[in-house]
Amino acid sequence: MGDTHHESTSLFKDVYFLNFVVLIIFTIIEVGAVAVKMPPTATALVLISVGVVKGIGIAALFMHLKEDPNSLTVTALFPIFFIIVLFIGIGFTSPAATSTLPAWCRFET
Amino acid sequence: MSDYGDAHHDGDHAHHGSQAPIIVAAGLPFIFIGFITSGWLFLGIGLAITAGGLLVWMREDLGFDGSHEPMAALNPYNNIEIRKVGMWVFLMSEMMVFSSFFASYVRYRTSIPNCTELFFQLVGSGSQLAGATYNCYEPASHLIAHNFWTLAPGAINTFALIISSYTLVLALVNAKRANTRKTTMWLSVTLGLGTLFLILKLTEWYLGFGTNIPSLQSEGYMLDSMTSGSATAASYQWHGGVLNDVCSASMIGAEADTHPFRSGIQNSADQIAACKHAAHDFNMNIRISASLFFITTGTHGLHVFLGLLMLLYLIYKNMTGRFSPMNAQGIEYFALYWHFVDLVWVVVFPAFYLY
Repeated sequence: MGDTHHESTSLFKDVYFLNFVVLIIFTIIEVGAVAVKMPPTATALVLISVGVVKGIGIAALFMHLKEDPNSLTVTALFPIFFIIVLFIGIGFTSPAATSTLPAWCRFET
Repeated sequence: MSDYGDAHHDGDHAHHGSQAPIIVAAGLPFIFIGFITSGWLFLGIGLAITAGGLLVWMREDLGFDGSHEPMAALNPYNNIEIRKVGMWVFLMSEMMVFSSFFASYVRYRTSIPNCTELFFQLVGSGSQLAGATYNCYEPASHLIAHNFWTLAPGAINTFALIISSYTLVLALVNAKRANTRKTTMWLSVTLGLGTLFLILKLTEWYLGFGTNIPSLQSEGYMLDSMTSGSATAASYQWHGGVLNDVCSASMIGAEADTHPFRSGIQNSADQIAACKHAAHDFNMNIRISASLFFITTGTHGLHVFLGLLMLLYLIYKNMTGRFSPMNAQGIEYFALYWHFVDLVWVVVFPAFYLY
């Protein structure tokens, strides 16, 4: 962890404090997006965008991935391959998908 | 361990790894089997082995002064603390756990008809609603995000987790400055915020708060909100604020003039009454949506609970003077876990509470 960030006496020069403020502001935007009635697609877009910004803020700064060696970032991102497989294999299948599987990999009811 | 660094690890003080994680890993399957089969024997054995492993871990960690932090000596983690690498590998596996929940969420959310849409579709087609039960997806957000009060516990929890992430950073900063008093204070604040999170979670699930914040249980949103093949008595039905939300003038007014609740009726109050009357006959099987909600948020809540236990240990270790600038990284590694729990909530909150 980079100690240099904590030598500053001013909160507003502290990257962790600034990250904290940004997270709070984006959470307010997130909740506000639901309070303001918008089309579902627009709401989803706002929520996903805010989620991405918050996620990067937490992972890069609070979890130090920005300062740590790249190998840790690669480790953190490694599951994404499996996550994509999960989403394609499960997330976007139709309800009837399992009934088309061969008998040997189906649960018999 | 053969891949420890060399410079600081000579002599008897060198860290030789721990058997505790292996003991814990041996105990956890028993716990899971016990949960799945309701086998108390398995559960007891699993808890005993896991607790034993954690005690071994704790005993080793309490005596660790940080002067011989083991470093990885193999690529790609050369010269990175082994405990940090281990924590990231652990978090990687955690990511997979939550990803499976989200994949299931996307699958069912997109493939099962939404209950409100199905209701209007059935009414529009003149179907007889009474006497049948319809499988549909009722997102928990429908019950939670429809007004300020019901959204408040989840929203406060979001702020509590973000603030707790920052207070943990402050605890680490103070531990590195050997300020024991402030370290204890910030760790305790983090503990308090985590506890608040669980209290509000219980409020939202079971307890409720006054008339403005009914619990999900009191709204009928439960895992057994319809049992397969049985009577419809356990079916989920809209009532209270959710019913008003479904049968609001804006929902009905959004439809074309041929809408069943507008046809021949000019008064919006009559339309709303007709809608509520029809909704009363609409029985829903929402087990899948409720299961996804409770399993995902429950697993996240379990992680918060385990984090609180670890925080209690960190507070104890700090109060007994065992943290120093040399070994404050124990707090840093825990912080990685805690921030990850916050990161998961960043996805859980909009997906299950807002959308």
